[in-house]
Amino acid sequence: MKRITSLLTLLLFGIFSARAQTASPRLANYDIIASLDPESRTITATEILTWKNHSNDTVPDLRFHLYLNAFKNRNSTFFKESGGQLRGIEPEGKEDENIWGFVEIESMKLLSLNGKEESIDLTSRLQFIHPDDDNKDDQTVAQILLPSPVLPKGEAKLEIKFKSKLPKIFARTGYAADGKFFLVAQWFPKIGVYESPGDRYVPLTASKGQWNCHQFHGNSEFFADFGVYRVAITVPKSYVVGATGVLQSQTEQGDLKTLVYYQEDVHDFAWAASPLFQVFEDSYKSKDGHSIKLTFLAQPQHADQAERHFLAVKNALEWAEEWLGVYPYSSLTIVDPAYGGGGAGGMEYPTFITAGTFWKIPLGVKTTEIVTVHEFGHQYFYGMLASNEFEEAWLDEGMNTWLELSVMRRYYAGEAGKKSAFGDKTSAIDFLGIRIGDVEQSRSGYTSPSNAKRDTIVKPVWTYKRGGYGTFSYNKPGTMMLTLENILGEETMKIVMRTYFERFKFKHPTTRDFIRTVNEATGKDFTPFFNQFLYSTLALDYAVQNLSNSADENDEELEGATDATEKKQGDYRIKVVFERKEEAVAPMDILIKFEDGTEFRDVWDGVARYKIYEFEKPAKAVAAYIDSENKYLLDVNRNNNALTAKPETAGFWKWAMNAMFWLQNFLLIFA
Amino acid sequence: MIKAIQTGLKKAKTHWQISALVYALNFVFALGFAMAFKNVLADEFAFRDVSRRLLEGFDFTFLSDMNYASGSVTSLFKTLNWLVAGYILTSAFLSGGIIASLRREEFSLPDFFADSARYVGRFVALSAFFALTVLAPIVVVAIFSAIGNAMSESAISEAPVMIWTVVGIGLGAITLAFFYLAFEVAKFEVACENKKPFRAYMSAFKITLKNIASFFGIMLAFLLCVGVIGSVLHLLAPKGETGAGVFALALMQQALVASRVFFRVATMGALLEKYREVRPKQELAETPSEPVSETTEPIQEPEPTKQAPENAGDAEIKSEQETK
Repeated sequence: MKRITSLLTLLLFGIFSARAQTASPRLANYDIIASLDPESRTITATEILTWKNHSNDTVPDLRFHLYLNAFKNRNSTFFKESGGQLRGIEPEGKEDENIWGFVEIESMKLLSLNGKEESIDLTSRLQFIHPDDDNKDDQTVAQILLPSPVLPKGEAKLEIKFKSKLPKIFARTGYAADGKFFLVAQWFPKIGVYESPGDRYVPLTASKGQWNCHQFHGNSEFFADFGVYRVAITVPKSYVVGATGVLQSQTEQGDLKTLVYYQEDVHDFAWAASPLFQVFEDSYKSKDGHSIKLTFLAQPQHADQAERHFLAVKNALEWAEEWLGVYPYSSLTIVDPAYGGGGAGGMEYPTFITAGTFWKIPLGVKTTEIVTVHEFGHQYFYGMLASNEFEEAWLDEGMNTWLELSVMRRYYAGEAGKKSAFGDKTSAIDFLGIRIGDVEQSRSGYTSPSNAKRDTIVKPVWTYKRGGYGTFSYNKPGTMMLTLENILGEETMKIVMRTYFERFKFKHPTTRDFIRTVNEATGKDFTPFFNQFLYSTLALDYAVQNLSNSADENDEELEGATDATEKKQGDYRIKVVFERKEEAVAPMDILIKFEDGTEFRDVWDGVARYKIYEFEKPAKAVAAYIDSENKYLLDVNRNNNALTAKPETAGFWKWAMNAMFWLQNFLLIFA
Repeated sequence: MIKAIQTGLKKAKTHWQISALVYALNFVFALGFAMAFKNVLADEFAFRDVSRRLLEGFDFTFLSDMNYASGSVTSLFKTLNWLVAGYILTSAFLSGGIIASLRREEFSLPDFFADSARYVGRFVALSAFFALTVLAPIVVVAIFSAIGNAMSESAISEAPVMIWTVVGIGLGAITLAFFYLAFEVAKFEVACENKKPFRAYMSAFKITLKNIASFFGIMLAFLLCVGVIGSVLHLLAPKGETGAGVFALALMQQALVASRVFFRVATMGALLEKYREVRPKQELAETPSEPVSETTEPIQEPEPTKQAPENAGDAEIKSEQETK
């Protein structure tokens, strides 16, 4: 008996240690058996869902995402928000054509509840709800009232039989190439996230938790709990399949084959199937020594670009493991969408991304690399740091834009680019004399006068006006993160980001969590910085307003100017005026150069509207610079950050002569 | 065709004043814009330490942040439209002088401008017809694009669609070149045959179509010459990262433009030579003996050359004299 007790103790200890060792809480676990019929573009499947209630609440209902219903008709919230087009592609074809998609739950059965076996048909209890808007036609969220609640720390096990009709691809998921390419994402009934008091923004003092299960919106789609996925996929034998996770087994039955994929500690599962794919494989040795299998499923016409994709992923992996932490999974699949399926390109799912390229794309046009690096980056910002993309998209897309810009700058900027102001001159385009860095390209998406003050970064994504989502979820936060890195310095930024990753991986971090991490890791309060750039529409623009070398007793007093700071004996009275032109405030590096080679450096707190420096020196000032170290990429107009005593026009002549040359050639057509 | 090319080169050389005039006109118009362009940049940024960045090459951040000084740049580009329109009209004005001068053995400035003035109305009309025919290549590209779109419905690769699109653009360019050649021939029809613009254009189509190979050959031969010179200059061109470098770069650019102008005049000379050779005899017989009604004053033929015609093409002047 003692022996049995000891064994039981060991077993229990083993179970608990195993549980303690799991990377994620594994609250939502799926076992799915699915079969694809390419002719009808339909998947027939059975899903066994085991959901664990991690809260101390008794939860009376369950909520599900039924994302494919966003493509059911023109009345879904997704379709209305996207204006019928998204990612540059519109749904084609007539209303009666086979272009629409939906998910239909054929039956839902409760198999067990709180450890007790059941067999209760819940199908009739299913109802559609609309937590985000009043759109009664939207069927992307369903609620089911259970016969009895899920108890605190209890679990519910359901069997769901469903049919997913895939839409013709115009955004993210569906079929293309006349049914020869399937990108199967957001395809199964997926449980929402139950947030208990203390989770994310649910106050600790709240009496009860709540479901977080948003409708499918035009600009956002991800927020789910981690779990274990085992998915068996049956397709025609000629189809090549790539999926989330690791292929465990493959069996054939007549003209069909079944592939079983398994992955722990992920929060979604996507797959692709096509007879067109050419398969390329490579591997990467992670920092902790484990091997990561890289698979590129290429369209035949892009087969010569496999190396470009692998190199982009390897570069991104190297950078991410250095700046964030180890990539824990053992696989990564890169899918190259078929022609006509571009709307499914540039997407991220756990251990599975879709890229996007063109036939014979020149090496100097690096969109292939940018997309691949960006989507890989989501394995961290989305995959492991599973923030709520609906409510705080910047934690996902903005942070990941920073990762993308950092990788592109480090590996693709070239030597000349690295010496330039932003350390990047060629990482986006280096073709036919046009050189654009990914950093400056992304920054320009935010800084234009019409964009800079349009919106805030932190807000629900469906409340952005047209175009605002891209600017304030990608461009501005990416630029803000680079600015933060410039302020902190590389080593401190690494500490911040590693801390953030280690602390919140396999969790649902919030903006608040990130700010706390920055403040703790740096020992400084960056809250005002984030308040300005995340939560307000304030723009940042500092300028050198005036530089004069001769005494003028009648200088006007500038409103808001701080006192002059330095006066020395000399022959010239030098006056330099710096100005804060916009509302955002930040400390600025000041640099004034004199003709005798001496320099004056200072840091202005940037609070007042103007800052005046006056000197009396034997040497004239030749130039003055604000933000002289190019730290504040958020400064919306960098053309006013310097002022020289003498004009310099050679560069303008060069471009005027170039313009003249091209105009002359154009005019000769009419000669 | 070789003979026509040789004649064209010879004419461009002996009538170098035409090239000088066309180049000067081109230079003055473009310089006007370049100066305004430079001044706009200098007014906004001469003291902003950006000139150095621009010397180094294309600077995207400078360009994107120019949004904050976009007013003056926008107005600059609005004036460009007027400049191009003015250039087209002036070119139409000079065309008559160029063609008439190419028919003479010697260049005379007063004659050049007299001829320019004589044909200006009809050449402007011809230019308008040519502008309309530019729609044709657009239609060609649109047709190919529509077929490409239809192909893409069932295509599994963008490669054939892209090839199809490139072929469409190529065919559009060839169509445009054809209309351009017809435009040139129509000018000859006006200047040599005294035809109304529309009739000139119609018969020019027929002539161009019948002699498409030799006309295209002439054009391509001279384009090739420009291409070779352009490639050599491109290899030799400095980067322009200093004031002196910018000056050297500008000189090389102007050398290329000047060579383009020279070969443009040579092309016209060669086409005119070929036109004289292939012009249908029937057309000659139908040449009106009186000025066409459209013109308000009689069209004077160019002064007879002092020397005897040196080739068969000049038989045209003889035949015109016979019709008087």
